[in-house]
Amino acid sequence: METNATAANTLEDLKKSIISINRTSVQQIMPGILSDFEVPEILTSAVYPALNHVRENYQQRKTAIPEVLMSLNIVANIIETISDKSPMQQRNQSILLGVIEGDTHDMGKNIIRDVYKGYGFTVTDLGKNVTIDKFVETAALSQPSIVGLSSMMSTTVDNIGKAIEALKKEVPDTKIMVGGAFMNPELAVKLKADGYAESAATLIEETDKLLS
Amino acid sequence: MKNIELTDLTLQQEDVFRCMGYGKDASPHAETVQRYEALIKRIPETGPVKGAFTEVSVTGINETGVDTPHGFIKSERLAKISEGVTEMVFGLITAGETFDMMGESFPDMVDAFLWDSIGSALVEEGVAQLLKTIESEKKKTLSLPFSPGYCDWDLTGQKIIFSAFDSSPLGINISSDSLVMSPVKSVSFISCLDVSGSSHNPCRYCSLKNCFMRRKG
Repeated sequence: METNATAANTLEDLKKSIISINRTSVQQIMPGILSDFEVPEILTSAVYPALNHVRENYQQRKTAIPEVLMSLNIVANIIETISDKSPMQQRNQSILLGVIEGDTHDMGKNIIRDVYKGYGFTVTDLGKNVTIDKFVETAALSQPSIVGLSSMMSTTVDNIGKAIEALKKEVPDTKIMVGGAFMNPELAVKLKADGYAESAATLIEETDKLLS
Repeated sequence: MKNIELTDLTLQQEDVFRCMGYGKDASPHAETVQRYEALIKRIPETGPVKGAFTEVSVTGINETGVDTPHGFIKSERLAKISEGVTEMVFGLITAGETFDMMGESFPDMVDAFLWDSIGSALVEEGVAQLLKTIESEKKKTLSLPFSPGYCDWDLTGQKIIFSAFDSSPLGINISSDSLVMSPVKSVSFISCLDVSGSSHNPCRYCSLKNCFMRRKG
């Protein structure tokens, strides 16, 4: 009984340390966690709940993007440590991301990339100003679960529409998700995207909805 | 056209943090503040923020927008603040290519994000300083700046502004299709010269009360 309570506390401590960005505490807790728990339990009882909490705080404007990124950075280090100990694949779903041709604003896309990685997705990041051909060619080769198209500008919406049309033709089983400053749910529907994520706060829920 | 180097820009930490989304319910983590302070010290490495402006005559105003020798600016809200205005200023500000390159060199996303936010604040402060300089030089009141892609002015307005300058002014280029500016940390804007006090702020006529770009006054 006492052991279980201590164990739960340790996972709870890890969760709290990720949320509060306490790198020292994470370093102290991890050796014990690794010897006492299986990887899936660490992820489902501490890491993912912590990230969910951080994203919820962001959605409720109780925190901002730098703290989300720092928590993701801690999680990336945890996953690296876990992987060194026992190679694993967290999810068998993959994401292909990029900023559409004509747009060079990639900060939002980079944040989305890191959130996906934090939740264990395999991510291929094509970068910014990516041509429609490059999206289609890469998607055809890798058959990702989702292609995420980002655009911050009104002037590149046409390119998003063309990319969606081409991707649906070439990789019909791949879901297409859109996001970015100029995007909204109505426009996503109009462009025939399968999904839309407003920000990092709702990204994982929208992704799970698409992949369920 | 006149070029100006804005060498004494000062960023207020709380203003930059507010633009990042911090407020009364969200304070930055100590590590965020520490990183921000370290990055601020690196701004001089990127060279001065540069500005350019040119005066443009207003050739007509109707309820749908304002006409200039460089093209018709379609914006009902601009038309409202332009009543009686005969001159405008077209302006450009850039933090420069080195600023962009440094942002791309950060391997850490937190630093990259903070640098990006600092860059946005820096060029906005550059616009404010340039307007003050013009006001002082011309002894006239300027409206708050109005940029293509914001409010009810389409991003295609970039073409109108850039047509008033030589090619690649301050080293800024716009892509022909998407009209994105390079360097990314650049701002193009217009401002009405000699406006009356009540017409100073185009945000007065906008219904988006919660817009994060909304300006007081």
